[in-house]
Amino acid sequence: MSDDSDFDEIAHEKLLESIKTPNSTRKTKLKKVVKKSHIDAGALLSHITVSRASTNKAKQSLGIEGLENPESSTPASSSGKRKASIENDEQNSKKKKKKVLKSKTLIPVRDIEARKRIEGEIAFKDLKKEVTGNWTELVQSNRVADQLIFPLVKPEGLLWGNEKSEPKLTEKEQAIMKATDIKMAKERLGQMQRMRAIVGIQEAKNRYLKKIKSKGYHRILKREKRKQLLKEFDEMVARNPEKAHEKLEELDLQRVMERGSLKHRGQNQKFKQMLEKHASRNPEVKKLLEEHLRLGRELKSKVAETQENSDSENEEAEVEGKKKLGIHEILKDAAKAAAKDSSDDQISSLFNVDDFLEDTKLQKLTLAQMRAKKRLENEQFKKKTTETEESPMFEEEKAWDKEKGSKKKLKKRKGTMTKKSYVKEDYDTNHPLTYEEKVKIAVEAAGVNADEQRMAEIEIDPRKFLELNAADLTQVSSDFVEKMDQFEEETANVINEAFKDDDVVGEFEKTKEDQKEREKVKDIDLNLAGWGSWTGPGTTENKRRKNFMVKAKEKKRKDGEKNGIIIKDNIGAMDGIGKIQPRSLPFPYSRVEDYEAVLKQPLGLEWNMEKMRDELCKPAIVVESGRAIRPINKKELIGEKK
Amino acid sequence: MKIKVISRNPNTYQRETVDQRNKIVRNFNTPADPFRAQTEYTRALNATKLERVFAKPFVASLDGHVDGVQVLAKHPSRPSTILSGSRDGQVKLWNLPSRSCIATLDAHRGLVNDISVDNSDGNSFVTVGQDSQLKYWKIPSTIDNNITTPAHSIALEGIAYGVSHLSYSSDFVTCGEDISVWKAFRETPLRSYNLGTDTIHTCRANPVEENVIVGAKSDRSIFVLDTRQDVPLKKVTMKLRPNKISWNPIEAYSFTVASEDYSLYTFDMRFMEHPIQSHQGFTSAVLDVDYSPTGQEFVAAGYDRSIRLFKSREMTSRDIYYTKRMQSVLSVLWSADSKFVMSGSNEMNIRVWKANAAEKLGPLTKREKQAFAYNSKLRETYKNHPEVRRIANHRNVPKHIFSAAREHRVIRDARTRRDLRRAKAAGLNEEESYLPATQKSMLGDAES
Repeated sequence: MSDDSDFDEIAHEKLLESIKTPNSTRKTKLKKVVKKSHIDAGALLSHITVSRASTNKAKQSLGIEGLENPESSTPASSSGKRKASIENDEQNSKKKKKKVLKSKTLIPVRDIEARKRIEGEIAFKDLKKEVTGNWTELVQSNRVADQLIFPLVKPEGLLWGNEKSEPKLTEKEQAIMKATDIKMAKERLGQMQRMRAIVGIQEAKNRYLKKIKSKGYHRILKREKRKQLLKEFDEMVARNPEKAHEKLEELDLQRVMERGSLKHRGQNQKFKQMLEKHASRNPEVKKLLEEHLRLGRELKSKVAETQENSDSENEEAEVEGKKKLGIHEILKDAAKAAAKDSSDDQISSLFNVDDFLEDTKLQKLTLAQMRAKKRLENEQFKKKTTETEESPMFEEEKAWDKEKGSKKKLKKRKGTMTKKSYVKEDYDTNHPLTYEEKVKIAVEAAGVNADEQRMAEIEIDPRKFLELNAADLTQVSSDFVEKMDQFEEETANVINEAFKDDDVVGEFEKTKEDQKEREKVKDIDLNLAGWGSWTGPGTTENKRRKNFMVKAKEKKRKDGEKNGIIIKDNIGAMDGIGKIQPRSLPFPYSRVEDYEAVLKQPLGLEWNMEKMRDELCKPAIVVESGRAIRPINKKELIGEKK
Repeated sequence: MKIKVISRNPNTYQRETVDQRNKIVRNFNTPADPFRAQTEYTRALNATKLERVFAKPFVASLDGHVDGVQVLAKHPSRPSTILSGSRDGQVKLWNLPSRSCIATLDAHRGLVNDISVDNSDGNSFVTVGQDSQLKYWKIPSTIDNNITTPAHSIALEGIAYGVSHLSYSSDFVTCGEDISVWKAFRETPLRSYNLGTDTIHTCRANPVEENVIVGAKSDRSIFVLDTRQDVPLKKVTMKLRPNKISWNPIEAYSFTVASEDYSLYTFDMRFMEHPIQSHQGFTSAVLDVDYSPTGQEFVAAGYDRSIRLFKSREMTSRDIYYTKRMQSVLSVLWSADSKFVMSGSNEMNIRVWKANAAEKLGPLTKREKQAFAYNSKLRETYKNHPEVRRIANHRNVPKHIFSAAREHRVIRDARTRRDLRRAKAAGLNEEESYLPATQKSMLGDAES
């Protein structure tokens, strides 16, 4: 081996040296000499052509820097470009040797191999230091990292693989890029959002205003509108009287329409209720109400006419006269007036308009008069109603009011009766029913609900109810019971059929017995063949055996008396759950608690929120398929560090 | 028999919503679920079983070579392109997605010893062959049988056995009788190192540090070289021949050696006295090794007609791939996107395998991703439970591997017993006398 030959040379060298220097002991080992002797190392190092920091340091530590020839250090091998084989190097060294020979008297024996070895060792130390310094931290952090996402350093540029080539854009593409500039787009988006918000707010406001139910608010609103309208109208009169005329006509038409639509009527709650509940069923009441309404309309719509016909106090008298008349007569009059109205209305209104247009003072006056009239009429009407309280109409109304309550009760009754009928309770027809009587009176008087009543009578017949229901009840229950019995039998049969062959209880008992037998503590038999087998008077086989038997203690079983249960007494570590439990602490853990804590951490979605689960289950290595992962790039990393 | 169950129509108690989403009522202070551990253990067990059920690693076979595939190489930036060189001197370029050969070159007479692709921009590659030729080829941007002649060709003095590009550079080193550093299109090397009379049969440049090279000589030694220095830095000798070397791409100082003694050894370049980890499991010589680009795992090719995947710091292999017709594997490769491994074997086929046998290929939905992540986490957490471990580690291996492994186990045990007895006889303590496999693999003391 080459190594052996090396050793020989060194030994030889050592031998020579020891001869030269009488102080050195022969016992020192060869290797140590190579490493330790100052003279040797210094001499060898003097020929190192590489000028490196550590080499210099090594030289310093060896105390040979001063000795070195300044010329020898200059032809340092600038590593990258110099093309040098070992042979060339040797030649160089020979030249240097000659130089040294010239300068120095004492010439140590140089071994090229040994020199190379030391050179290599020093360079290796350098490399070791460099590599350790550069990479240890990164490698260690990568090794302990929870997750490594590859590529470790994100490449710049859009495309991975040819990062250098930036995509060149055509003019069209640039225009598109400009059009799709994110800043602009964001601005535009912001504007749009603002606009949308404003529209939304306005819409919401409108919706809110529409929903306002306050009468006061609407009154104010209307008044404002009216004012506005009048203002416009005034202006129009001044500017364009013909148009104003048209406008007035239009307004009047509107008023007529509004009045005709009954929109302003029947707004109070009581009236509504009456309309809903009774007028629809009772034609008489309906008629009455209609008349009532018509009267109201008449009284209100006729204001202009009355004003036109009579602007004196006799009107009041007339009204009083009317009031004294019966209500039918009033209604008749009203109807007639209305009939007349319909024909005269337009003419009169036109006439009125002309008057109106003539004088504004007159307008005001008429307005005031109209209002006064209206108020007066309302009062009169009220009085009338109070005066005519004892009229049949109101009598009827009361009855209706009562009936409303009683109907409810009636309905209830029906319900209770149907229930009661099951419990065989007699139905008392003579039960005092004040409400019912009243209802009957009212209904008969009005002639309503005749059919309904008949129906109710049929339904409420107690005997029918009782008989029918009682029979049903008994029949059902007996049927049900029978069926239940039948069902139970059937199921029992089915079950018996299904488990015909297996005697579950018996089997269980048997296994229990087996278990008991197996777990029973057995006697220890210490009999040995030949021992104690002597015979004599009084010794029987049985007695003899007993001498060598150690009787086992009776052990009480936990499940001894309990039926349908087996409790195993002696379970080994590996019998039960031990089979699936880890037997020793796995590698990275040093304490059982740590390992248990890791196992106790739930991972599933049932015990964690989704984010937590994702965090817990994140893969240790993340790679993108189809994307090349390149080794760590030193230049990039060092660039980053700087 | 009619079975009655309590069921409620959600419509009866849930309010109707516009987008069919109802509020989920949660208790944020829920009591601990008493069956949590049981449930998750069962899930882990099922996940492990399913992982084995779905473990179908074989993806494709690339056939076209007419002799054993001696060497495989990957393109550094194009994960879909791989190169292969066979024993008859042919080099083929393959497109993985289409599983087709995109170029065939008659590169050398005699076998192709090594291929290496340019590390700076990936526009060229270098081949060395048994015919003492070094050939420099250009890679066009689209390859379609358009590579015919080398861009440059150099006749070397001796046979070059290996070639490897320096880190992020288009310079490369060749090894054979000596180590030479080359620049593209130069007739002579930049520098060369004479390391003695022994042939250097493999060398690999460090993928991170641009100046560091490791290689193996036929005297069973591994050496470290710094291209800035004139002399080799370190040399250690193993008991059996190191066949191939691969650097860890994200750890600048660790590399793994495929050894003739049926195992692999991971070295720390700074402490070469003995390897820091041995990787066992092969039943015959290990012929090639290649690291995953993530640096977490490596794949190794065995003369025993199998390939094994190892985690970079674990002793036993995490998986073994084989097929009935695959002969001894001469070369392996881990794809650049770390999803596949390739094996080139003596019976002329290149086989593509999934790096994770049970992995589902193709795009995954979010829920699938989450489910897979959950399952793999469960497997990881419960991997030390006996049942889970038994299922996860069980592999059906070919009979020859099974019996060989048993035989080796017997031999190993016998040796251990013998060593123990010898130590006892010598009056040594058990612990003192114990030598780990990593130290046993080295010959004597470390020497420079």
